[in-house]
Amino acid sequence: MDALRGGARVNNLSHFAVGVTVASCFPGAVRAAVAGNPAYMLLGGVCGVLPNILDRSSLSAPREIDVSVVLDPSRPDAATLADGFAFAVWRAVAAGTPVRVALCSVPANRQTWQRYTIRLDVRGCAVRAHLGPVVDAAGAAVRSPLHGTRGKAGASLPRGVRLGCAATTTVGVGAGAHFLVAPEEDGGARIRAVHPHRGCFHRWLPAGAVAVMLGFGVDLMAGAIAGLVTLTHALADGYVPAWVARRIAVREGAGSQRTDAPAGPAWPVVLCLWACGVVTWANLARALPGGAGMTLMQTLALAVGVPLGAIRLARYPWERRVRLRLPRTVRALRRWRD
Amino acid sequence: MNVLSGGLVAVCAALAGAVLGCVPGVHAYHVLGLATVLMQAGVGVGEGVAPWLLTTCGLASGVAAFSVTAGLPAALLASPEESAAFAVYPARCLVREGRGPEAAAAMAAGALMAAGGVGGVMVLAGARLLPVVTRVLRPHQYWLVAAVTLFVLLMVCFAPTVDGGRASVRRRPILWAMGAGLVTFGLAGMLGCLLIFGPPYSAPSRLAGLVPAFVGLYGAPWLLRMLTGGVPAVPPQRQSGLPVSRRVLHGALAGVVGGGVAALLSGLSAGVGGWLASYATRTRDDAEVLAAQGAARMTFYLSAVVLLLGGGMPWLHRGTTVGAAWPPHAAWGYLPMMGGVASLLGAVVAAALLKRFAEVFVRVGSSMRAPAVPVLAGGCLLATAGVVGGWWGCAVAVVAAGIGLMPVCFGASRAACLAVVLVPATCDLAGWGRTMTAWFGVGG
Repeated sequence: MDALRGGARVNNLSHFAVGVTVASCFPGAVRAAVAGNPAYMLLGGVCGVLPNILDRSSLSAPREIDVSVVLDPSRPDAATLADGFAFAVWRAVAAGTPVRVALCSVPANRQTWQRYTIRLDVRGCAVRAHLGPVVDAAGAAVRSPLHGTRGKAGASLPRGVRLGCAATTTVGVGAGAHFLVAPEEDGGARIRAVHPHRGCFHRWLPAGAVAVMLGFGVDLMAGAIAGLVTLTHALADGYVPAWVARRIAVREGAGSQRTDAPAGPAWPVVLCLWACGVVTWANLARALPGGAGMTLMQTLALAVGVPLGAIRLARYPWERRVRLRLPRTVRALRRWRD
Repeated sequence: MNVLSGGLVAVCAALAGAVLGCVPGVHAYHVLGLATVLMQAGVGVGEGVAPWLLTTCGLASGVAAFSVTAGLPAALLASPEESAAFAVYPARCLVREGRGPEAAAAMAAGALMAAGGVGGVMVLAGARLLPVVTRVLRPHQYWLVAAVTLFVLLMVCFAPTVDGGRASVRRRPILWAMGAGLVTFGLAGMLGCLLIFGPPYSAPSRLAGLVPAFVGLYGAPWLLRMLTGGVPAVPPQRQSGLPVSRRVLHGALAGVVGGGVAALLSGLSAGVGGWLASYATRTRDDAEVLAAQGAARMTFYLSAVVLLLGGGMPWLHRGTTVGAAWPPHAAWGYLPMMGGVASLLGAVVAAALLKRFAEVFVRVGSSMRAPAVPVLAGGCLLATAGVVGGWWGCAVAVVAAGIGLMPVCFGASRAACLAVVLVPATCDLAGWGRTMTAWFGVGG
């Protein structure tokens, strides 16, 4: 859940692979590809990355940043962070217009970054900044902050600030974190996290419309492929589960997001590519004259069960330290049985 | 007798492959060709020894040893062959920190791990897996390679990341990067088509013929920046053993997958496979990228040897000089197993020699003054291109250097240069080879 909450999204290669996999589920598309017409397969791949491409290449992502919070890597100061963020919120409230604020990552040198954390304390009407260690590209701590730097600081926020994002944001490697501070009618403001590269095409309608038009421009099957792939983009992106996780986290008041890695951890990508590879393989094998394909259950077991089992095994020593809590229903059943 | 002869041939081939890996400009397919010629010459030496056994052991061992040591010229002299092109940039970064031998050692460690993994899989399950894999994938080669080409085009041209992924928010750099990516992709693709469909020089294989282009695209930009003062002077280099860490293991695993995918899809190179693997697993650490590149190269060439001898790789069949001493059909079941064992042997021999070779490279480099280092590297680059293609090779390298500078100058992704191998591969698999040749007007 933490990974989803922190943006466990997959990258463009995975989106492309998901698109090709969806296309390979259409036997007509596989037959056409074998016959030398890869248009359906390529269309699936293109539609898979279409929202990302449209947002990046058309520059539709809202790029106007009103306040950029930048640290001097040679003399990092937590007060700069807290004051900068608080300034953005106060400005939004005073001017009555939305303010986009960017917490920029701080490259200490070519391969290390100064990590820092911003915590929005809504009840205490304050923003607190905390300097972490200098981390490498993998997020591992390399050294502590420079001697003599101010590691902790706070600044006051106006009353009535509400959170539409995680309360704690950690910025390390990568693009940093972007927020939109929108003033509200009661004099407060709502702070929500926004993706640095996502714009209007990541909302459902424009990307879907473009993809379906692109598909139906070829024929009916291409249109169906394009529509399905656009739907799966959001699912593969982890956007829907991440949204659910974020809502839960915000309601509980203990949300946190990390932008330590530029696009999150590697395992969702590996998982996604493995599943895509297995499903595509099964579809291609099924299309052979001999029909040497796997059954649906075998495919699902190999695509989902094997990687989940591997992740479970890989994470077992870490999870052993966590106290195991059974679901409430199971505990109630056990009490009833006893 | 068979086992003894095979082992002896494997050790000799490993020594030869390890030495050849240190020579800038020598490509794996040169090693394949040389090994085949030697094998054919030595077929009559061992009475009662199966020739295909000698061929398999020699090729697998020689190529494995070559893959371990071939990182040295790429890392320390920035003189890449096509499978090491993507290793140049991270290796130069480490060289600037005085960790050049560590860069070569990371590539070697990745290659060694891949040899262990791939060799193990070949020994245990290769004979059962390979026929199934080739049977399923062979009808789909065209669209799979086309999909990879399209993906690279989309990523480098339409979703550029300016300023090292630090979320550049300015409009103009992104537009420049998109334009530069598109132009680079187009020019590199044209250059690749020219070299594949109407090469002005002969080469042992099609991919080997691309070496001058790779030298220009990936090696020369660094050299030109160094000569013009864009890159600081090279500090003294510290020696390093084989780095074995979790990150190197991670990179090696990714590289094995990437190299395997590249080997199964005709036309893709080991560098492309390693790049895709690094991209997929979000690899950012230099040592991890280098390990992935080393592992991808080892996996690619070992798989290529087995598929080549087993008759599963038409791309190689059409180009290489390996045409004799094919194993009989009945021996295909043993071929992956013998190849796996021989490759393990070759990789271990080369790894034992790696530190000595690195010392020689560092000693030569440290005995020279600062301006002599880029001059030596430039000489190596020209020699690399010259060995493959003579004067034409040097000319191709110069043209490719101009193309390779565009991504560096405009902040586009250097992956755009991959078009040099991807575009001709796609055109060839699509059956457009003759048309392309006619367009360029240089072939028959």
